[in-house]
Amino acid sequence: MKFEYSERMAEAIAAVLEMDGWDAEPVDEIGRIRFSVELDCKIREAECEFRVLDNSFLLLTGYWGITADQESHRDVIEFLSRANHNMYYGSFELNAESEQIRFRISHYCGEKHPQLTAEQIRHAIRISLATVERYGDGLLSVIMGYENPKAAIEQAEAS
Amino acid sequence: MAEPYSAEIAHAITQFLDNDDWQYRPIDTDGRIEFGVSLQCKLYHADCMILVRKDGFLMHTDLNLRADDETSREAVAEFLSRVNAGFIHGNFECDMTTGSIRYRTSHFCGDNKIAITEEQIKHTIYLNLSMVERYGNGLIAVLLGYQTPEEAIAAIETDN
Repeated sequence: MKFEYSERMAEAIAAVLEMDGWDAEPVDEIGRIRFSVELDCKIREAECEFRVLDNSFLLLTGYWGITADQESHRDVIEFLSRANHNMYYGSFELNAESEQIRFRISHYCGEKHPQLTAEQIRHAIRISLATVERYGDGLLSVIMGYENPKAAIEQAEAS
Repeated sequence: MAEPYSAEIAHAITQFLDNDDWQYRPIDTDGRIEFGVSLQCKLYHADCMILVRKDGFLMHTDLNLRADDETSREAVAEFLSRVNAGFIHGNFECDMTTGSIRYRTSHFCGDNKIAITEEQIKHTIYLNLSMVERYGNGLIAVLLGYQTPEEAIAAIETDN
């Protein structure tokens, strides 16, 4: 079965990634475009994945190699809930099975008259990276049990 | 002083609300447009707020519920974390201080405000409300302690 994704949207995203010097893999058969980024926080690297759908795209940015565990699960949920509460665009999420943490941002382009600009693609990348960098150290300190979620958020948002 | 929001985006949204027969409070000086909605779930009513910014807008639907103790807040946060992880657009949020719960969708237009379409405005509003309707009853069951987050999600997925 052919997976339905907008080739036009995928081409627009790939063009912006190339123009901006991201070393991205070519779009795969189900509309995913992946690349890695080096972060400016204690977590060194994140993995980014655009998922192109028929009328929208998502950008998922996961902290590479960092997961919550049973011991930190509750505190990580509280940390992410507090982080999400005052955001305008995108949100953190925790996969209940794998315990992986990622930031998700999406953009609805439409079906009748789909609209997507380079600025909207760059905005998704910029917001995602700024957010995972801003909360990275706090998240790590909560996973390690060094800070409670409230204090870790206060520190992250003060910087 | 310049308005903290885009007049073009605000105009596009109010035009959509007018054409779609919504009753709403006119936009205030901070770019807020408020209205109430009737929902197709046990939560009969919710308050909605569209906040217009310079480059986009977001919509919050505030549920008339509160996770007002540590046990219910923990269960609700777990439930919302599990459901959020499968969404494409928007997310539920719980204020971990007050226990209030809302759903947020947003749309970034960019500097080219002409890029916003009626379809995008409709999607941001209707998707928001449909998610509250879909997950509202499960959220209440978890809030009251009648179902675990896993049970509530399984029940929602069986129903739909």
